Amino acid sequence: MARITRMRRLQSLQLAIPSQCAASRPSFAAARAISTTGPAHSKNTEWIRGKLWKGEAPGPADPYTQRMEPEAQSNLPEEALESRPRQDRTPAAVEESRLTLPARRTEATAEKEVQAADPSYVPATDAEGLEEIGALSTWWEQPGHWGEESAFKGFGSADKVVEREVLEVHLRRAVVEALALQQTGVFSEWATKKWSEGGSRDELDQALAVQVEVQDGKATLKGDASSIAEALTSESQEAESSTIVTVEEAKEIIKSWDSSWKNIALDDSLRFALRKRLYQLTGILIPDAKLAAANTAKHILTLATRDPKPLKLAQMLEKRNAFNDLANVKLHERKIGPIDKEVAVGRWKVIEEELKKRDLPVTGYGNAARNKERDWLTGKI
Amino acid sequence: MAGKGIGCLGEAMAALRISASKPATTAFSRQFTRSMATESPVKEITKSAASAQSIIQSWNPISTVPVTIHSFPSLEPQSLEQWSVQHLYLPLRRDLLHLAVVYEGDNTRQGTASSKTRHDVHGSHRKMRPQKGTGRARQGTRQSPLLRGGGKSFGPHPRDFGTRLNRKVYDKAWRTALSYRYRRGELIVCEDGMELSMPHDFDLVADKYLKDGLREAYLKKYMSGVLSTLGLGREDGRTLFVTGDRRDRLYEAMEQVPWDGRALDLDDVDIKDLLETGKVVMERSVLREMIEQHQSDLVSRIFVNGVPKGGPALGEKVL
Repeated sequence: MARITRMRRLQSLQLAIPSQCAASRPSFAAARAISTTGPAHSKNTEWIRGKLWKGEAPGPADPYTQRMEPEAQSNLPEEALESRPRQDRTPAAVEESRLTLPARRTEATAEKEVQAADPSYVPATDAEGLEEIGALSTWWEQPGHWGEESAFKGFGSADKVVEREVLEVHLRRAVVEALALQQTGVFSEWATKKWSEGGSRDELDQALAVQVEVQDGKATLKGDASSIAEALTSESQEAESSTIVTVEEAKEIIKSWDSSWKNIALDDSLRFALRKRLYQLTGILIPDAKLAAANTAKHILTLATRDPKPLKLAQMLEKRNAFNDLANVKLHERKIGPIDKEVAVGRWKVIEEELKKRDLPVTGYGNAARNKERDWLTGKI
Repeated sequence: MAGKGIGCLGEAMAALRISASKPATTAFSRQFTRSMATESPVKEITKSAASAQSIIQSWNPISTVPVTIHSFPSLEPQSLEQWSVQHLYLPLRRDLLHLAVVYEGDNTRQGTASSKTRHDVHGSHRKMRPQKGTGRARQGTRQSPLLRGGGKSFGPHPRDFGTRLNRKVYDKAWRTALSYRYRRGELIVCEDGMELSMPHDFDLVADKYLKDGLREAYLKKYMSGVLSTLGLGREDGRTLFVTGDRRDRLYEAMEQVPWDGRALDLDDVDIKDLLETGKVVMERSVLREMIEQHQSDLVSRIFVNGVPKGGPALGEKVL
């Protein structure tokens, strides 16, 4: 019948089509090895080879299955045969750049050579214990690849000052510097420019040594204003060292001033300069809308300091001794979980050991409720 | 509800009676005067905050507010401008913002959902089986909505979900969104030509020698470093960068770190985008353009003596 013959035709078709879409495709040579030009047929083709070559044909009878060994001898001079050291073909741009780039070509030692060098060498049969090399997407995360050259440096100090005392010292410095520029008459020119970083302790001390006298919001400096101004306006590229003023030091320094300097009145340019300098020294950028509300240096200090993190409820209760006189109330830092309960009874170590022994996750009993069967037996459900 | 409340009260009273049997009478009197709400030491906590708050509240700008222009990406303050309060210091109007965001959402709906009714479904309208005598339910055509493969009774059809909003309302909402950002200190204005400057070593090799995802991985690490240094990253609530047109480096870098924020050009920004992220960083010209495009409630379209009644000046340089 027609239908059956069609089926047969299909079957034969399946046999005839080589499995092209198979996952592991045999290599070309292997594919040829099972070709129809087998040695059995070669006798039939011998006569045509003879005709073609006019006599004895060179090469193997079946060039597909019988590979010829490459000629051992060569008539090249010996220098040419010796492997020459590979020329360094790294592009100039790659050489100039300080980025650590992956090698363009890596050569592993051949198995034979390894065996010759180390007789105890055994090829690995599984991945265990082998060196792991990450994908290229993790290249920059690997140690030694991300260097100094890729570090970003913004205008503001990278480590933010949090403590109020240290901030006050820096603000005082900024005020003194701005006033010094005003006294030397270059403030209007330098208000928006970048002042030299002044990361060393000497410069800080120099600025703090100057006395500030404020009368009716107007401030005058008593001290060496010109040298401060000069240091600010000079372009000194010094080694980076963020001024480290510890909180204790700052407290000591603050004690030596009276707080009247904080009453200095601010105008637009002074506000701008102080904000900029404070950002440079401490990494704190006061938003425009808040800064505009500040009329004195004291206001700036208030706006720049962050409130300390509020205490957690448990800490606050602890501090207030809220439940000290209640014998049946205990205060804990966090919610008491099943593990805590087991720890309290002294059973957790045992449970942990047993869980580990059975290769189970050591996570308490999580969402699992107590067994239902007990409730059934006691008639609760 | 009320009964339960009374029950609770009764329990509380009972507890009080038990504690009252204790000899410490001072403790009792303290407990008795305690209010039902949870107490917290009001004075200590809010003291410093209140003073900062009072400073800010004491400031009521009448005509202009200052805007600092920064350089990018170092964020060095470069110059100072004064902008009208009508542009950048409007009071927060949540109702306007809500109207605007809903309006935008409606108008961005694609509205292409389409289903077939019984009249659209392909096939013959032959009666499926006789009306009577089969012992089964009567059945008309196979397109009936009751049948599998039949039509959909009240399915979606392509339509325009767009709604309308008065232009002046939308424009005011836009400036309200900007003002909200400004007031909270979340609006950072940068100089024109905002572009991410990369290290020289990267520029040397970036185009030719960083292949197979190496370049993207570099940009990802670098950009997340930049953002966290500047306080614009994920822990600070993400950042929206708005530029006049596409800036290749900046956009490419931001595409690598979508969890840290995004970069859009002016045409792609709407009010919802302005409100979404923790911080908004934009070019000066972009701010100008935004305000210019969205001040219909301030600018009259009627010309008097050949001159329209213009709104407040746009950003005057002070320093």
